[in-house]
Amino acid sequence: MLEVENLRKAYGPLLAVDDISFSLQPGDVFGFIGPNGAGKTTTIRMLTTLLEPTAGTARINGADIWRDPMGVRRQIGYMPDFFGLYDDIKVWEYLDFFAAIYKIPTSERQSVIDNVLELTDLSGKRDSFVQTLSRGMQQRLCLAKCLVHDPMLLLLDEPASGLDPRARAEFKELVLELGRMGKIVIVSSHILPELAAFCSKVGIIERGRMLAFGSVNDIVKQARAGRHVDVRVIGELDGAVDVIKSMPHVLRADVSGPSSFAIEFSGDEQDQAQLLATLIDKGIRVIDFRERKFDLEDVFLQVTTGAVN
Amino acid sequence: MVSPTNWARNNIEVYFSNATARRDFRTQLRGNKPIILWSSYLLLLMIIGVIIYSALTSFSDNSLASMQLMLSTFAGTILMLLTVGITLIAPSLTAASIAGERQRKSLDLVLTTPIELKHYLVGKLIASYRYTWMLLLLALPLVSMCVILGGATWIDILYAFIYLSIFGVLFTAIGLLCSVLAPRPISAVVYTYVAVIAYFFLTSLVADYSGMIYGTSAGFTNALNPLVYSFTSGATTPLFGFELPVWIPIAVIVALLTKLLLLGAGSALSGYGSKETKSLRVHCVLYAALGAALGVYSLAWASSPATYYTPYSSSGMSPSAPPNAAIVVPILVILLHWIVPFTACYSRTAERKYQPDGVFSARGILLGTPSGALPFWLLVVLAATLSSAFTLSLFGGAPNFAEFTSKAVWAAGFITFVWSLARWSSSQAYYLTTARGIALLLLVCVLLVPIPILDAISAVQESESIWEIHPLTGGFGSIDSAMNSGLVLVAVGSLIAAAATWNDKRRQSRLRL
Repeated sequence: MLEVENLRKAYGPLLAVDDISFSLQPGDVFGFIGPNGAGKTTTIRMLTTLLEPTAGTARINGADIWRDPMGVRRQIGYMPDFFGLYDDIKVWEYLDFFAAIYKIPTSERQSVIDNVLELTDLSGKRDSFVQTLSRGMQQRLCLAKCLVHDPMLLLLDEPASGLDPRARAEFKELVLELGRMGKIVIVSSHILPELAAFCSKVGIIERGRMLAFGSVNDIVKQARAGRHVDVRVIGELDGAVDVIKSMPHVLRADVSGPSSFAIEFSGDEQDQAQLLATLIDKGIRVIDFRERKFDLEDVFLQVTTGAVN
Repeated sequence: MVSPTNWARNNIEVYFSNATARRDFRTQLRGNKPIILWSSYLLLLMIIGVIIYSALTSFSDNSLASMQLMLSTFAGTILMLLTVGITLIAPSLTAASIAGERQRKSLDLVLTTPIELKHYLVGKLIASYRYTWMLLLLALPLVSMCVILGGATWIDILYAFIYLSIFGVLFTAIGLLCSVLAPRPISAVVYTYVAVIAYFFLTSLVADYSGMIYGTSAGFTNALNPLVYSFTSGATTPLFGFELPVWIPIAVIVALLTKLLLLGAGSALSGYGSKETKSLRVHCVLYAALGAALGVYSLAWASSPATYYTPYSSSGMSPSAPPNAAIVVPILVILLHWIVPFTACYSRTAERKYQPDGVFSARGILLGTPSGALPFWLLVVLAATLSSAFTLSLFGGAPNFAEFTSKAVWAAGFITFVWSLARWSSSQAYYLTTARGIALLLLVCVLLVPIPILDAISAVQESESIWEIHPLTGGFGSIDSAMNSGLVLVAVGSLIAAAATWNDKRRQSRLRL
């Protein structure tokens, strides 16, 4: 498992990462969300041991980033947001280089390379030169490189950037598969709807602070306590709003358009049904009564301020 | 504890089964680039060879002696040309290796794997060194012409190739270090050429001095400069009573320097308290002792009357005590002082190993942090002083302890002064590179700017006494002068360092407000 404890990175008075703590279990696919400059890449680079934290630590299956960086490196696969591949090298040679670094015995390398190429759907490109691969294929090759030593933790920094929709969908499937294989996958991304679809946990970070952490549903519930209903009526709008305001559990009701208003209330589904019944009983002609659904993007916009370091 | 088997296996892996070297080997000769490069190189060699041959034959009067001289000049010129070619091409091919990886953003992918930095850097060295050998092998047809025409023998060519391959390792290592230190490949190439030119300049001075004293038969220090190898190839040098072929001590020195350069590169790539930094610091102290010992030994030979009078048959002579052997310590400090700002400067915006962690800490010596800079350099001075005094007592008679003490005090004072400038610039600058830049600029100003002024004053006063205020002069003056100068430099350095600490605290409190 991955345990991050009070991780902090300061550049003089500037706090890039401020006291971040969380833990992840095998099989977790964790979406790391935040605006540019929020501290996502810095956090990931600290977990890879490329950057030294100012304070705090992280442990991967007991290997501490301070005390046992080599132990950490043996258990991680890192894919940065921008990476370069070597020119004039074939796909299998590229993977063979990393397999050699991870001290995979020569006799096993062939099968390991074949396996990761199959997993990343690059078997057909085994003997191609890496510079001839498309961007999506290069991303997959980098992921294949991350997998040659069967790591416990995968750190993917903006892996979907620059990919076309099809490549993105394929990449999402691949990440889900890795999660099912019992690996911990950390994905940082700006594309929020996609993260919501395949991440079991998400963390929202801004100005170096973790503002929210948990499953997507839990975060949405925490951020949007109560229910939000949009109502459209024919006729007298102010009368309808007054009726609603007098109802129990209603926290607020505001006109949101020429014939519509929004209700925020703390009741359950029964109370929500009662709201509609009361409006109709009072002779208000309701043409639309709908609970507003919130997604990760709404929560993200709510909890972050848009400010960066 | 590492078992011998593991140690052997690890070294076999590093040198003979290196993944980095193998990967680079796979890519080095692919595509059109190498073909164009090697063809251009061969063509250039041939054109220059023909031009030189034509030029030399036009001056020949067809007599046997003249032809013989012409052919040996032709061989010498071709070998010199090859040296210049290797010197120019090898470092530039290496310089881009790691800086290029950094620019391409492939370095991070490697550094997040459990690869040992030694493994990686040696792999890069091997890969780049292959280019040097390619250059040598490709030059073989042209060099063979020298043998066929009669200007050189195969033994001459063999010696030349041994020398060039030895220096190829050194220049490749210099290129590798610069490649680690430089942010971009182009800067790495510039840094490398500056470093190689500095090496040539320094070793030319040594060769000049050494040549004056030893003649052609001795003084392997002559051959530290690759351009003079043709004068020393096949020569022997007296070392501790033995006559050694010159290339052996040169190979040992180059191997030691290469190790130091690789440790420097490893230390720059690694983080806080890495084993590379610890090893680098230990090696620096040992090398300072070794360098001082060799310097004193050379001086002992130089001051031997037998050496003066019979420079071509030095074997069996015993050196006598040189009167100024302690001067080796100031010379060593002057050669090294420009590195002090790189170890002493700090910044709160930098990585942990460059963060301010106090003023003076023995623990910081091995950690490589700014607090360890002054104790580290003082340790270097101490090691050089003790080693030179010990060497003198072994080979040149009883050392003058008062002189050694005064030179050591001056060296400690000068180092403290340079260190204080680095502390002060760090207290002013926000970024580490700015701090280092200011420190080096201050150093140049303090050492060079007063020279014309002092020169003018001494001319007007018709006295040299004004020169005593220059920080460098004490190191070369009398015992009293060196001692006084050292103490003044310690006092001035301490004041500047105290001012820097006060300024730093004030700036910190202002930032917190």
